Amino acid sequence: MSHQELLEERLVDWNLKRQQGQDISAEDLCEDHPELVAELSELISNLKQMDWLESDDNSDDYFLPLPDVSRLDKYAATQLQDLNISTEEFSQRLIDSGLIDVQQVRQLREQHNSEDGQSFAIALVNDLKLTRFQANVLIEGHDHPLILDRYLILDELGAGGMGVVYKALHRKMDRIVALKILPKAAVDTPDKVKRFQREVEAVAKLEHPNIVTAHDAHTSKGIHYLVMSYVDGSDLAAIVRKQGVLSAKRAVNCVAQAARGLAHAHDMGIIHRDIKPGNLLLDKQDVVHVLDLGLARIDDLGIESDKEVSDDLTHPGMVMGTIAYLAPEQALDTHSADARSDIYSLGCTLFYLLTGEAPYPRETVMKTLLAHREEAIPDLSSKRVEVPKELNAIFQKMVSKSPEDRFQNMGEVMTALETLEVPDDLGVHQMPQAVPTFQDTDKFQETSIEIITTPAQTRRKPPAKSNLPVIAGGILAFVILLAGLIIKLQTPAGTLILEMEQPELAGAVVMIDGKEKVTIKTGDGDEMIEIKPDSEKHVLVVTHPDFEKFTKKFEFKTADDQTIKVWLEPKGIEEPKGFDLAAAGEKIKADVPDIAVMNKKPQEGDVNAGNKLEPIEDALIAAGEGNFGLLFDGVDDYVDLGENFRFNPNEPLTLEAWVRFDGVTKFKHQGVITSQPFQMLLNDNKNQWQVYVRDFKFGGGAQASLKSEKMKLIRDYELSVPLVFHDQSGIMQYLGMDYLWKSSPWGVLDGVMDEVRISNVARYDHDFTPSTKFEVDQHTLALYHFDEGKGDVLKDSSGKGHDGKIHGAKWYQNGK
Amino acid sequence: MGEPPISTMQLQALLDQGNDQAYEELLGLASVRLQKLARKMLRDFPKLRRWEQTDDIFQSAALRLHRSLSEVKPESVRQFFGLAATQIRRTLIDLARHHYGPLGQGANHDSSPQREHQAKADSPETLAAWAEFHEQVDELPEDQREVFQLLWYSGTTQKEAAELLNTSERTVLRRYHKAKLSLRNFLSNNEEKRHGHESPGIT
Repeated sequence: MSHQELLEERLVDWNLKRQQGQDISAEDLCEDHPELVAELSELISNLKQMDWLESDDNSDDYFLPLPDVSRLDKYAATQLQDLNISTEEFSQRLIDSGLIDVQQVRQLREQHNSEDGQSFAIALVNDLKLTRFQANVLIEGHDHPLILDRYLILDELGAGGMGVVYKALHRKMDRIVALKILPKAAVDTPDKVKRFQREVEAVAKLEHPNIVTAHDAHTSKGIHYLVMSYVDGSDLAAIVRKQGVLSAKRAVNCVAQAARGLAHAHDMGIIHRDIKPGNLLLDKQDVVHVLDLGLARIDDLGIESDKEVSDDLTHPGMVMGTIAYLAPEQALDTHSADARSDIYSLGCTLFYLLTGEAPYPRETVMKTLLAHREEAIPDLSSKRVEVPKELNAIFQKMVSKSPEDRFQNMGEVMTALETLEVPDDLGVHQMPQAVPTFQDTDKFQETSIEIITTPAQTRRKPPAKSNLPVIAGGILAFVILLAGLIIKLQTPAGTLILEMEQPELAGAVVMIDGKEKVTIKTGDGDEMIEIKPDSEKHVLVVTHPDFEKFTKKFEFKTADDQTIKVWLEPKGIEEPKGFDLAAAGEKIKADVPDIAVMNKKPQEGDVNAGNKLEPIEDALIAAGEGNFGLLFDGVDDYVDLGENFRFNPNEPLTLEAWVRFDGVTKFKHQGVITSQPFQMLLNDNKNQWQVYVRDFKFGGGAQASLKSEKMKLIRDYELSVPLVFHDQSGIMQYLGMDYLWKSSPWGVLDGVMDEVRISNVARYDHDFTPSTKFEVDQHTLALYHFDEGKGDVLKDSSGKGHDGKIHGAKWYQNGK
Repeated sequence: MGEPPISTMQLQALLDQGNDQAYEELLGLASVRLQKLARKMLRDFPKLRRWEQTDDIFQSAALRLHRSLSEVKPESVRQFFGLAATQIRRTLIDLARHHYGPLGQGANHDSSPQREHQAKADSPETLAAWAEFHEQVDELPEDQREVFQLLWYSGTTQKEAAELLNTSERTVLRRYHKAKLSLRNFLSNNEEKRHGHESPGIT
C-alpha cells in the first residue's frame, strides 16, 4: 500500500470512529506508521475545517419556506396540452393574444427554432415568457382572453361561487390582482348588469384589513369582471386539510379576525351569506381575509332571474360546501339572512377549524339542512378536549338554532372571542403558518414584465402596508404620489382615455366643447369617453371646486384610443397650518387622524424666508460653507440607487433630506426628492406652500398648506391595512426623479440636494430641530452626505452598499 | 444529513415497478435538501434574512428545481440524485448570484461574534465565494464529484451512497474526504491569496 493509500485508509478509520463518537488521535491511528502522524494530523485538522458542511442548520422554520408541495405537484402534473399545433399557428395565436408582439415572437422563434408549436410553447414557459396557463390557453385555441384591458391574466386561481378567479397583473402598475370573471349568463341583460354594478359599488366601499376588497367592476370585450385584491395565502379549508386542525388559540384568532372584517361589512349593510372556511384566506402574515363579500347576493341576481345561471351555481360540490355552514333560517329563505346568519356560519367555521369537519356532516343536502335545524348542537369540548369550556359556550351561542339566541352582532362575537383566554397549546397541534402558495406566475411576474408588458418601465413595487412617517427639514414638502386603479369601459368606437391619478378628483366634471360628458367617479384611474372621429378641434375641460380648471385642446381624427393625462392644480387653502383632508380619501380621513404638520423650532442661523419663494441655501448651509451638493437640472438629472434598494413596507420609513428647490419659481409644481413610493412634491400656490401626501394603497391623500417653509410633515399610518399587494417589498430607486412622472416638470428635481438619510424607524413624533448632518445608526437604510465633490458615484455612508450612480446632476459647491 | 423517510433501495424498487410515489418522494427530498442548503448558505447574511423578497426568490428557485426535475423521468435513483444534485447546485449558484450583484443585499457577509470564533477556512465568506464554491464542485474528479453530490447536495447517507454506487462505504468515505480536502484548499487558497499560504491535501 502506498504512502498515499495508507494515509487515506487512516483517515477513513478516523472518520468512522468519529461518527461513532470517538475522537481518536493521529498518533493512535499511526502506531505502526509513526512517520505518518504529522501528515495525518494536518489532514484531520483540514477535514475538521469542513465540518460546517454537515453542521446542523439552526435556521428558524420561517426562513425560506418551501413552496407548498401539493400545489407544486399539481403544477408539475399540469403539463402543457398535447395537441398538434404548428409553430406558425401557435405564433399567430400568440400574436393575436396581444401577449407578445410580432417582432418579439419572430426573435423568440429564431432563438428557439422549435419544431412544433408545442415545443415552442414549452420553451417560452421555461423562459418565463408565458405562464403555463397562458400557453395552454393558446395551444387549446379557445377564445379565453389573456388580456383584459390593462390586466394580463397569468393564471387561474380557482372557480368559486360566481365565476372563475384569475391571478392577473396590472401591466402599468405592475401590481398583482385577482380578477373574477362572471359567467356570461349572469350579466346577459342590461338590467342584470346594472344590478350587478350596484352590488359591486356597495361592496367596493368596504375597506378593511380582514376583507378582500372588490375594487371595481369592469367590462371588456363583453366580459364582466371584478378586480379584487390578491391575497398571497391559502384558505382555511385547505390549511386544515393539509396541516390538520388548528390549535384553539389559533382558531380563535382566525375567527376573531374574520368577525372583525364581517362586523365592518355588516355596519355597511352588507351580509356575506356564504361564510365558510374556504372563504377565509390566511396570508403569510397570518392575517385573515374574508373573500367574496357581497357576491352571494350577486349570485342571487342570477338565480332569481336565470335558470341557466342557477344550474351553474348549484352543482353538487358547491351546494354541499355551502350547506354545511348554512344557518337554518337562511336555508328556508335566502332573503331572511341577516348578520346573525353570518354569525351562525362563522360558528360552524370555528367548529371546522378545531375538528376538521363541519358540525353536521351528513350524506345528503336534505339531511344536512335538517340537522342544522333539528339536531342537537355538537359539543366542541368533547370533540377536542383542550377546547376550553368558555370557547365551547361561545360556539354554542354562535350556532344557536334561533337567531334570537345567538350573539346579536359581530361586535358581540369579537368581544367574546377577544376576551377569552385560550392557553397556548402544548405543541400537540402545530400552529399553521399560511401555506405559501406557489405558482409559476411568481417568477414570471418578476422577469418578464419588460419583455411582454411595459418594455420601457422599470419595476416599481407599491408598498404592501404603509406605515410611513415622512419628514423633511428645510423648505421641503412631500407628495407620496402613486397611481391608483384603472377604470376602463371599452367601447367599439374611438375612446378618449382620461388618465388620472388624483383620487381627490372624485366628483369632478368633464366637459368637451362645453358639453358635460361625465362625472369623475374615483379620479384614481382612467375615465373613458366615447368620441366620433372628425377633423374638428376640441376642448376638454375638467372642473372641480377645490381645483384649478384643467383645459386641454385635442383632435380626434381616427377611431383609435387617445389618452390625455389629466392633472388638476389644487386651489390654495386659507387655513395656514391645518391639514385639509377634504380632498383625501374618506377612509384616510376616518382612520388616520395623526397627520400633523409641526413647525420646526426656530434656531440660530435659520433663514427667515417668510413666504418668499427665493431659493434659500438651507441645503448647503446644512453642511457648511464650501460644502458640496448635487445640482439637478430639472430636465433629466437623477441619481440611480439601483433597483435592489428596497425597504420593508411593514416597517416605518423615514426620509430626511436637505433640498433646495429652484424650480418652484418656474413651475407651479416642483420638488421631487425620490421616486415612488415617495414622490415628494412642493407646490407654490398663491404664495403658500402646499404639501401633498398621497398614496396608492388608500387611494387618497392629504395636503397641507403652510405659510412657513420651515416645516416637516409626518404622516403616520398606524393602521392595519389589507395586504393588497402580492409583493411585499418597496423599491426606492431614484433620487431627484420620479420615474412615472419623469416627463413632467414635477417629476424631476430642479434644485440642489444635500444630506439624505433613509431609515426604517419613525424618527420624529414631535417638534424637532433638524440635524444638519445625519449620523448612521442601526436604523439607517442609506445615508448620503453628498461630500464627494467629483465623480459620478454618490456614496452611501450607511455601510449598506447602496451607492448611487449620478446621471447628469452636477457637483455644486456652496458659495462658489 | 437527514435520513430520508424511505430508503433509496426501496425507492429504487418502487421506481422499477413504475410507481409514481417513488418519483414524488424523490422530488420532495430534493426540495427539502435545496431548502436546507440554501438556509446554510444564506443564514450568515442577515440582511437577506430581513429581506422578504428572499423568500420569494427561493420559492421561485424551488419551482425551477422542481420543474427541471419533473421534465426528466429518471430510470434509477442514482440517476435522479445525480440530476438533482446538479440542479440544486445550479439553483444555489443562481440564488447566490441573485443576491451578490453590485447592489445585492447580501454582498457582504455578517461577521457576527458567533462566526468569528470558528475555525479558519470556514464556510464561504461572501455570496460570491459561495457561488465559486458550488462551481468548484463541478471541477472535482468524476468519482469524487459523484460522492460529494450524493452526500452533500442530495443528502444521502454514506450507506445509501455506497449502495447506489455499488461500492463500499469506505470507498465512499475515501472519495468524500478527497473532495472535501480539495474544496477546503480551494476555499482557503481563495481566502489567502492575500496572505500567501498553501495547504496540503491528498491528490
